[in-house]
Amino acid sequence: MNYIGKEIKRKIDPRLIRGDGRYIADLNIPGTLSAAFLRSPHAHARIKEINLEQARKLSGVTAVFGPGDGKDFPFLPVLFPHPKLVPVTQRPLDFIVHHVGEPVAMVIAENRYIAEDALDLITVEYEQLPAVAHLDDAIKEDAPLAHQQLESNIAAHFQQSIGDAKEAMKDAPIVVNHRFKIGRVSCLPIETRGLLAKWDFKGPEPELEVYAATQSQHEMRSILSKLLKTPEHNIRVAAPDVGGAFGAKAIFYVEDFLVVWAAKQVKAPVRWIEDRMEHMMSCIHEREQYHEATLGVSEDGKIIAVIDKMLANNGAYVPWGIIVPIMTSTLIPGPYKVPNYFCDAKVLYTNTVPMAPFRGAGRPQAALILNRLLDQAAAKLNIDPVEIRRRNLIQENEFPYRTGLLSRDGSPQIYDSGDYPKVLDEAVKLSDYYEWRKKQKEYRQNGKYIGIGVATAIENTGFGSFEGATVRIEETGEITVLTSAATQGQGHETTFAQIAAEVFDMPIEKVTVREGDTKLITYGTGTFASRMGVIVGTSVFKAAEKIKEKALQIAGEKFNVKREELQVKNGYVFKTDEPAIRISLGELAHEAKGIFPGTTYPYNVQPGLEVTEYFAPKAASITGMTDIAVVEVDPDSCAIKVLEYTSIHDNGKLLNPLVVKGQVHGGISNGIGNALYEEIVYDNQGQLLTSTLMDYLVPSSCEVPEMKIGHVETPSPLNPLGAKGAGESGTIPVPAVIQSAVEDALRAWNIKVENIPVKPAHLKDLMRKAKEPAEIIL
Amino acid sequence: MTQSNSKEITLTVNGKQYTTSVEPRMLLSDVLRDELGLTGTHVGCEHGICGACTITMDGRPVRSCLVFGVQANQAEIRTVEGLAEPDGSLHPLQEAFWEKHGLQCGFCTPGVLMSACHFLEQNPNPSREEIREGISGNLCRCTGYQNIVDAVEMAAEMLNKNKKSEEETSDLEIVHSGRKVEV
Repeated sequence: MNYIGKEIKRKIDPRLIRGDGRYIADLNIPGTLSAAFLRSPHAHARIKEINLEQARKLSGVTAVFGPGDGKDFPFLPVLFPHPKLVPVTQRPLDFIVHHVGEPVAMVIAENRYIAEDALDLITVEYEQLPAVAHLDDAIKEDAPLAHQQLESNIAAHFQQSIGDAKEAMKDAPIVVNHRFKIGRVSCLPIETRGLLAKWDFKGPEPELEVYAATQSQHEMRSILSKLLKTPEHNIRVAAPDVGGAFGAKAIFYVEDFLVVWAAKQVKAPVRWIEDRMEHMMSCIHEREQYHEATLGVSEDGKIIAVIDKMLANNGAYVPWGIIVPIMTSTLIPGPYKVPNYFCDAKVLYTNTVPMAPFRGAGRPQAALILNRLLDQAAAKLNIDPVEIRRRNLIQENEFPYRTGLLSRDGSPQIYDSGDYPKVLDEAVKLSDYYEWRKKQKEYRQNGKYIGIGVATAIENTGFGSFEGATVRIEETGEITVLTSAATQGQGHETTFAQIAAEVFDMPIEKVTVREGDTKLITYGTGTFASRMGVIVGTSVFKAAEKIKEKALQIAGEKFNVKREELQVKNGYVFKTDEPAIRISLGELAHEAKGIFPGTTYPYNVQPGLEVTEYFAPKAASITGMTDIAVVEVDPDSCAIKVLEYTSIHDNGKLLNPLVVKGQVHGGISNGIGNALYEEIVYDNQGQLLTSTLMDYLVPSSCEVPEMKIGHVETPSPLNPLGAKGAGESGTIPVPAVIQSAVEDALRAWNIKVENIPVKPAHLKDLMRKAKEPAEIIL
Repeated sequence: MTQSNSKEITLTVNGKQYTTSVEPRMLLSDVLRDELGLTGTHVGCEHGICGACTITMDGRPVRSCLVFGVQANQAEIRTVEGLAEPDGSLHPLQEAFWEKHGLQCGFCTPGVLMSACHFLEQNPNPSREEIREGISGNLCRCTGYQNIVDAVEMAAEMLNKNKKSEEETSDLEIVHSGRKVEV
């Protein structure tokens, strides 16, 4: 391979490092007005009265809209229905608000300064309703209802089962338990949400153009089409440059509808750029779950049964259904052989920001459960934590592996390929694990508390249903690739160019990739679930192969030689044993349109050197990873320092190792935030206590450790590239590995670390309650 | 914005002088972006934490979201658009960020580049730890910082090499002109 698998510098960078990006806030469309939202200060309230008149009178204000204008607005669609789900979706500008930060009114003005002035002039009289925010409150019998029309706060109650876990647990000689209290986090892209909507009323029908910081322009178009009752061909959604997303921009929000609707009302382009406080109080959160889990193992450490009881907070609405807890419940067994498994999950509504997938999407929680239970079992059996994992991993020769569970789409969960023992071994090697175990004892003798954590996990990547790509040979001889993807930093313009370059055996400089725009390709789904490399990559590959064949056929007919005698390289089709007989791809693109207009088309294939291919994978490709962390905990301050961090990933065949490594780095740093620093906190009345970046701690370059990354490549049999997703796998093992390492460091106190994030104050509390430190037990 | 309340300011940005009329409450980040059309400076939090809007003002890095435009009257400002040479050739930091995959979505990048640029002026031979400290005022959500540190390390080497070759060149000139010949 000349291009696929090579560390090629990104094509997009020269533009971005000069400051020439085109993010939503940068677009300069004359006459664009600014939108701002008045947001609810209450977690649950009815709007009794709202006065918009003073705001409307302010000079520079074009329009002010409130609940009275929204009486006919539709509810947002239920995107991921589930038989066990009682769905409640959001309705724009409703008279009842269900979380702090929900939009109550909208101002359209000349600029954002005036729009915010106008917000100050709006008066609202609220009737406060009882609110519920915390999981342990929401589950109570007499809990306030997050939605008054519901009978309880339970959005869904479901189970997952393999074998008979309760029965098997009775016979297990060793049984260990662990509880988990996993906090809530924000996706927090550095670019907040943003949207610019522009209507054109001069055509035969009103036409809408939306520029959005979105991960899925096609989904947004589809939802807008339904909500506005406007056919998709009259709507264009484009995502120019998007400044990170991580899940935050995969959701369709009420603001997206309102900005588009308002632009139609005021007959001018309207832009809304979310500010950071709005982001914290209205853009999706994730992770919050409580678990009580039990593991039964044999005397030699083999897993007999796992039982988990889960409570998952879903916030006030279910914009993406109950995908996150389903993902957690189906991935707790992960890379391990679990003959008996039972999970009972209750998903609860609360008066807080809705939960939907953030990078990792329920899987970091899943990775915590069994890895941490195995830690407990290893300690009880006096086995090394690496060894107990080794004894339970699915072996290379057991693929395809049926777990006995159903996937989130109801099909049997089958792992396609992997080599988990090798991934674990590589991590042990790269991290100097056994060396650190020795050093740990030495450090202890010097009064230093070092802990080592290990976690092995998987990610099901490259979910369907489909994506597509158009590949075209231009008359300039260049290749154009148009895809249904959207990029928010993943380097698609380079990796997809590498795929086309490989097929045509020509430099990637001659390949241009365009995406993030519904006008480029008819159908698409979006960038989420680590699926672009796998699904769009395969579409590009298939389309390029097909168009290459067509070019060869035209050339064959032109030269009157067999297709087998021809090959393609560096922009030419030529006869293998007589290279002087050749034609450039550009000339072929011209030939494919006929010699000149008005002549008879001479070839036995359809005109045009362009083809569109959609790829719908049969199942998810399974990425595997093992992380090992070494931490030091100061027993006085409980400050935690990550001394070393190692991560080995099996992302299948790597399309561009430079880009994949970057994805893994980023994922781990999100995981470090998740594990040690970041937490969205509500009080029990649903007041948000972390609405700025001074309260919500995002790790900086001083907190994220140096990372040692390695790769094992087990190609996926599910796609011709052998690729597996790489976008999220970095985040997944981190909370498990950090919690494990911290507990290991403080083993002398015999405490159980149950919280995520692991915070010094909480550790201090546990240590105070624990007995005096025991003698060195290692 | 009501004209009556506005104040005229003159500022030099990337060597070019601008005179514009702004409301006293308008943030420098908004003046740069909305009044002067320099959208390379990005706004990520507007409360001084994320560092995306970092520029240099009279030679010192500042968060342009924490400065009012009127405070920048008569100031000398440099933004990401002023990093590359007028002929378009990239600044060593930009080269290094490209080479080392020091950016992904690119939204925080202009701020990181401006912080790093000032940092390397202050500390031309930094350790990795010092680099981490030096860019710790800029949040990046994509890269995990490791490649950014690699890039700043590489840029430091490039800048030092350039400086050395400049010195050598000027040495040669001195000898060549014969003005400084030791007797």
